Amino acid sequence: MEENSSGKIKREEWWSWGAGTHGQLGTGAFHDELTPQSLHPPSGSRLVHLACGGSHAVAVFGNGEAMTWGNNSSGQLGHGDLQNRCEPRLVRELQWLKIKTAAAGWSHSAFISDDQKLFTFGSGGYGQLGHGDLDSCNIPRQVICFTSMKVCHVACGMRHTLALVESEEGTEVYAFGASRKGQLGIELSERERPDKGFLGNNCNVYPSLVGSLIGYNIVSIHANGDHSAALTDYGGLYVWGRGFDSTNNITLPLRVSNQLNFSQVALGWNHLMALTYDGQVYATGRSQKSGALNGLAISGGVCVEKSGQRLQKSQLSFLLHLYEPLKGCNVRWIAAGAEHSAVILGDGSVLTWGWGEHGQLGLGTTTDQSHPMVLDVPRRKDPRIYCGSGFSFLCQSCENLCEFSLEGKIRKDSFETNLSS
Amino acid sequence: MSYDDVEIEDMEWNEELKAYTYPCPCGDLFQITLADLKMGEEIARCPSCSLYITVIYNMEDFQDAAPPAPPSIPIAAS
Repeated sequence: MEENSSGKIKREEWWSWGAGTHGQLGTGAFHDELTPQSLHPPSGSRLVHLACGGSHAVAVFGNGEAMTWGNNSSGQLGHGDLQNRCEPRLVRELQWLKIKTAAAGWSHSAFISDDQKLFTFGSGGYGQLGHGDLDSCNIPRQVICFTSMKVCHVACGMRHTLALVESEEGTEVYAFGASRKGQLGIELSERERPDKGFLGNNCNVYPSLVGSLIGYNIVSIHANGDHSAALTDYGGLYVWGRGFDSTNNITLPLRVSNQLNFSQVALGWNHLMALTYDGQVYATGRSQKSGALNGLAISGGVCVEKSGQRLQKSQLSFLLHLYEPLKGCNVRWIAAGAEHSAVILGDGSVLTWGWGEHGQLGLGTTTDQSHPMVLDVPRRKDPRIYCGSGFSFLCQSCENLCEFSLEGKIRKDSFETNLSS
Repeated sequence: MSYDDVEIEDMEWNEELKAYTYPCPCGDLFQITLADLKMGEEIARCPSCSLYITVIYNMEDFQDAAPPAPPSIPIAAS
């Protein structure tokens, strides 16, 4: 531990790198960084959660403080103005509440208070704020639909939002915002009903219940780009939204067919990674015309059993593939930006790969990487990595890992062998 | 090569940039102007990176098109 300039004991270290022209790196500057830049943690309280959006970031601390920084062109920082900020700044409108968690979309933000109320702000042009209109707003506004409910988790995609609500019967997933790619997971017949808040142009301006997930005990929800995903309490993974095979959208939640239990999910704009309880990464990705920017163009995703027909749910299967470069590695944490990925291994090492044009891989270059590369940062206790569109944050304890466990060491060696083979 | 194919319906008119825009994975916006669309241009570029997208649209629809009206409701203060 060390003391920072304000005399407080510094317990955490923050690093950021990648695209920074909107101030999203929080470094006090408006330019890209090709290598991890050390930041002073903005709060004396420990980081609870950080989320990176299109070009802004949001953070929640143990004392209930909420901070935002980066692009503010749609009011997504919630400071009451439209000025970009290159340093983390307290969201004053929320300071009378204790904030528990948050999410960041392309240009909107969402926070949940400890009394389980949901607040959204930023761009609302697709109804993604859930306020019943297409307005944007630059200060936090409570989503009234959830006033009598308990919201426990929120996820923001490019133009849509998912909210997880606790009820006596279990949990329910609600979705709002753009629905053109099926990212809300709501059946057409249900969505088209006028009383559902369907405003034409495929926007759901009021939260709608994702009916097909009722009874599945969803414990976490995920969104990025036009993709959505949810994990059940026993690790079952459901996906919906834009298809990973570039043609077929998945309009209703579809169970990943692998008989595997996952503990974490990470979505990019064209790829998905999921982590099993024993530290293995499974993935699928869409290969673009431009090649696989994210380094994950693995055949898989939605397999169509009968072509040329309107697809029924029963005709689809969604398979993930073991991500071979990390096979046998003890992966503890996964994260995905729009077109890049990051993992943390059990020995504290951080690896990145994918699109690198803005330095978002932190490797000192703008080159793309098709395989995971080890990042040059200190290995500490409790590392967590968060990725947005072209930028990344690493937050970890200042305490060194005392001893590498023998198991971790062996796995690291085996990883490096994998890389060189 | 093109990063993605995007239908014009999925793009947003940006009054400030005077262009139709779509999010770029680098955090900036792919952009194409009304004049470009009238000429049949189908590539929207990002000013911050090397990526571009192919815009799917009907050129005829834009021959007499005026710039779309800005959103009627400004940023709400509350």
